[in-house]
Amino acid sequence: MDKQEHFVKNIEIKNFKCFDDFKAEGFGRVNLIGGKNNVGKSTLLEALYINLNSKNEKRFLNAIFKISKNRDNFFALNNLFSQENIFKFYKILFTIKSTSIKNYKKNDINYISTNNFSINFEFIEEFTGLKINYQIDNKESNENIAISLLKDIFKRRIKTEDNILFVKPIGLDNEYINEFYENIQKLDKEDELNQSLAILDNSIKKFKIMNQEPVILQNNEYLLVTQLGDGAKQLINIFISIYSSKNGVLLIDEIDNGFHYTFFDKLWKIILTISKEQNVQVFATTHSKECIESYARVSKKLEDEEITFIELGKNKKDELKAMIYSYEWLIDEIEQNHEVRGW
Amino acid sequence: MVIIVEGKDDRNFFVALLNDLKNNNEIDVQDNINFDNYIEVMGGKSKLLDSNHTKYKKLKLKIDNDNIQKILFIFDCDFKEDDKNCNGMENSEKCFDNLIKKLNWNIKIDKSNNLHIFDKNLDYFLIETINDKECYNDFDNLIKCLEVESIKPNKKPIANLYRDLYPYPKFDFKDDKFQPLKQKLKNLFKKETNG
Repeated sequence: MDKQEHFVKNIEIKNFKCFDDFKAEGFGRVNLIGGKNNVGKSTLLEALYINLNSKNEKRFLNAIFKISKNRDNFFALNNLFSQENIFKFYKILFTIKSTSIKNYKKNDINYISTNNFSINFEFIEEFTGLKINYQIDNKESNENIAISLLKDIFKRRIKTEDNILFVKPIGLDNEYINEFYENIQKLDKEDELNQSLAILDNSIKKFKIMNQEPVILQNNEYLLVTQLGDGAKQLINIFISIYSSKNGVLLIDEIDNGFHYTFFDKLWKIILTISKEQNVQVFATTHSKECIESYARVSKKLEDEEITFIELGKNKKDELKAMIYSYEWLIDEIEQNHEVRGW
Repeated sequence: MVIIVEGKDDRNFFVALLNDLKNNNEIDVQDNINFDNYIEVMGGKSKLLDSNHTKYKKLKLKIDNDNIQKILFIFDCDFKEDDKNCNGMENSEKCFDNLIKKLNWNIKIDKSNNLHIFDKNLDYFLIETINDKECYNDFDNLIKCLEVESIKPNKKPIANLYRDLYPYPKFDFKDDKFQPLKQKLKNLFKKETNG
């Protein structure tokens, strides 16, 4: 069996949020995505996440809800899973070209296809409940999204794929950190995490879980991780997530979030090394020029050519397009001081 | 837009010339513009004229995505006597035509009368425009006396010696010889700064 069989090599997205008709091919083991604001970097991660969870119907639906929650903290905090709110979030998530629920186009077909899975789905507005038709692995399904199912999803009775993880800018919550930290312990990687944290901030001595709470030892006292700066929290998220995505896929939105640029080389060394060791495909987004330069520099230093850089931009017709740079092309662009953060 | 050049020296020259145009308000660009971004260094004339060069595949994708809409090719004709297929004015033009045909880009080609600005090569052209003409003549005479041109004319002995002596050559961008090239650059940067 091909060790990298689970890697997404190409993707086709139709009518999904800002993606009308999009194709990209030639992804590597580690893929960094750049582009201007609101061009669709995070949406590309979302499409990948939904698609990668389409092996199982319930997980597919849960992935949709997780994406909705990631996008809206208010929704996540208040857990307002009324039918009306859920519908609003479907509207946010998918291609909705009308402005009100009543004008919602009934036959909008949303389609995401990769070399791994192909799914399409359409929403039908019903006064009695949302109805979703979807097709996974050529099997048609039709389900009313009832409130009870939503409750199950929110209470995490239904899971997404275990080794397909999505690290959003606000990070993982405690429940996930507690669950995934076990993977670090099983692999005896606690010291490695602590050493990485010490490079980021030499006052941090240790990370551990105490009374179900993630804490760090700093200046001889244990502090809740929530009291840390964004960089340390992001590093813990990434480190724990990548080890928990063995033989899977890790999606990281705004990877540079919270990090000083001098830490990027260390960060990329961690990601490139562990992703290779654990056979994890990584997709990450960034706005940072220093982050992209560091990515190219560290890949070159490690002689890791299984990387790509994906530049998103729009053509004259305002259609979203991707320019995928191979290792060789990315190194050349960076060495020539070319701009690759969108056009 | 993109300016395709042979080597890093050519890039440095064009960055200097573009900055001169910017400082004299002859092109309308942002103050913090990075001119490197608009120059593709191909790594030599033979690579520039090779349609299979991987950089042309990259540029083709950029053209297809409307990331590039205008391209200016700059390369030396070099000396015919150097006995290479693409040397000299006539052979260079044939090789260039062949390149464009093979690339088959869906992009407008402006092959005006000023297609070839430089006889010999860019370095000779630049040396002729240094501020101190008298100094150049003496310099040129010295090279002739030493008969180094007869050995390797395309190695640009004048330019190389001059560059070694003066790390920051005193090119006179006001020289009339620069005008056709400046006009091409102005056309390239006209209206749009992207593409």
